[in-house]
Amino acid sequence: MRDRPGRGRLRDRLRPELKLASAFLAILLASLSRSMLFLEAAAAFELGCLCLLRGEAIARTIEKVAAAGFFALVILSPAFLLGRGAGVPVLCAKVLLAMLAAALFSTTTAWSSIAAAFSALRVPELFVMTLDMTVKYISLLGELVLEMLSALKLRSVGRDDRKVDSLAAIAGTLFLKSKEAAEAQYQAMECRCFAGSYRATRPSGFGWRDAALAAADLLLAALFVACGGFR
Amino acid sequence: MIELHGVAFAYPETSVLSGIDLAVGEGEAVALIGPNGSGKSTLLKLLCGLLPPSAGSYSFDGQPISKASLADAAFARSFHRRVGMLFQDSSAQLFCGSVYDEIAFGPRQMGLAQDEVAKRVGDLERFFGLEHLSSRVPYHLSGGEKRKVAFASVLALNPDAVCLDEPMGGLDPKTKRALRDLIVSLNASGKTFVGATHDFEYVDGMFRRAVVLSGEGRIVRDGPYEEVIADRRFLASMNII
Repeated sequence: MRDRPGRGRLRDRLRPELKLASAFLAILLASLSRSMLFLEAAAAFELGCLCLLRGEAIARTIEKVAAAGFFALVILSPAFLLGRGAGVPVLCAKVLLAMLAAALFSTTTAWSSIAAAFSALRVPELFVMTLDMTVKYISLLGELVLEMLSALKLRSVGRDDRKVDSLAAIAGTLFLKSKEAAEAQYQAMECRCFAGSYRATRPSGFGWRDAALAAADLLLAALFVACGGFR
Repeated sequence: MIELHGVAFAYPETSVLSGIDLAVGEGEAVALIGPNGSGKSTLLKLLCGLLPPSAGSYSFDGQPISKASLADAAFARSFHRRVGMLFQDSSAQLFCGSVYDEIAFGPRQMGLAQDEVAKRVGDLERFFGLEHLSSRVPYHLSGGEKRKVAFASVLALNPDAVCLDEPMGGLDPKTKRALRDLIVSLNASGKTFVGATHDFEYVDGMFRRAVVLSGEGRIVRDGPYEEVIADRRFLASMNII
C-alpha cells in the first residue's frame, strides 16, 4: 500500500477518476489496435506523460515497464523459431504501452485517491470498501507473517525436520489473527455508527489540467479510429 | 448516565464478568483497574454496546441497552453516537484510506452535510495537530499518530461518553502526557470517561474514581482514584502491581 506517490509536476494534480479512465482507455485502445502508427502515437503520448514525472518516479516506472516488456519478449520468442516473428514487435509494443499506462497511473496516484476514483466512477461503495480493506489487510497480514517467520528463524538453530509443521502453525495463527482483526474492525465500525455506506474522499473542481488530459484522450481515440480502429 | 445492575458476561467456555453493579454519572472520569483477564476490556465493550450482557441489566440515560434494543438500527446508531470507544489496538480501529476519511467516517455515517463533515474534520485535525497527515494512510503512521487519529475519529461523533481501553498502551512518555492532558481537558468540558488502565504513572490526575475488578471479574473496590492507588498492599494482593 503506497502512501506517498511519486510526485510529478502535472500528473498528481489531476483528478484520479480521470487518470483511471485515461489509463483504462490507453490500455484498451493499445490492445485493440493493429496499426503501428497508432501504437507509435500512443507511445509518444504516454512518454510525454512520463516526462512530467520526477526523475526517481521515471526510473521506477521504466523499471516496471521494462521488466514486463522483457518477460513478454521471452514468452513470445518461440514465435521467431516457428517463422511467425513478424507480430512479436507489435505484441511487445502493446504490452509495453499497457504496462506504461498502468504504471503511470499507479505511480502518480495514492491508494486513497484510487479508492476515491472508483467511488467517483460510481463503482458500488461496498466494492470500494472491500477493496480498500483488502489492500490494508494484505499489507497488515503480510507484516505479521514476516514477523512470525523472523521469530521462527531466530529460534531455528540447526537441523529441524519439523519445519513444515511450523509453517502450518504460522498459517493457522495467521488465520486466527485475521479473524480477530476482522472482528475488531467490525466492532470499531459499529462503534462509529456504520450503516452500510462508505465514501472515499472525492476531490472537487475540474481544472484546466483535467481538461487537457480529457482532450488528449479524445484525440487518442480519434486517432485510433483514423488509423483503422479494430482493423 | 451509565447504570449496570447485576451484570454478568460469559463467553461459551468462560465466565468473564459476574454481579457487576456500577453507576457512572455525567462528567465522571472512572478508571477500571484489574489484573490481566479480569474483564476490563469486556466491560468496556459491554458499556459501548458491542457485547450484550448475559445476565442483569444495563441502561444508558434511563434507556435499557440490550441485544433487543440494539437490534433497532436507529436506536443503535443514536446510542453509538453518544458512546464512543477508543480501542486498545488503534490499528484495528483505523480502516480508511486517509486520515481525513478516517475522521470523516463517523460524521458521514450520521448523514451530515459535506460542509459540516469538512468542518468537524478540520477542527479535529487542528486540535490534534494532524493537518499535515490529512492525506496519509493511517496504517503507515507511528503509534502515537495512530492513537491521535483513532481518538479524533471517536470525537468526530461528539460522544457524551468515551470508553478508553488502555489509552496509554504502546505510547512514548511525551505522547502519554499529551493524551492525558487532552483527556483531562475534555473531561473538564463535561465528557464522561471510563478507562481501563495499568499505566498508573501517566494517568495521574486523569481519573477521579477507581473501580477495581478481581481476577474473577467482580468489582471488589470502588472509591476515589488517589485513595485506591495509594493502597499498595491492596493492589499487590489483587495482583495489580
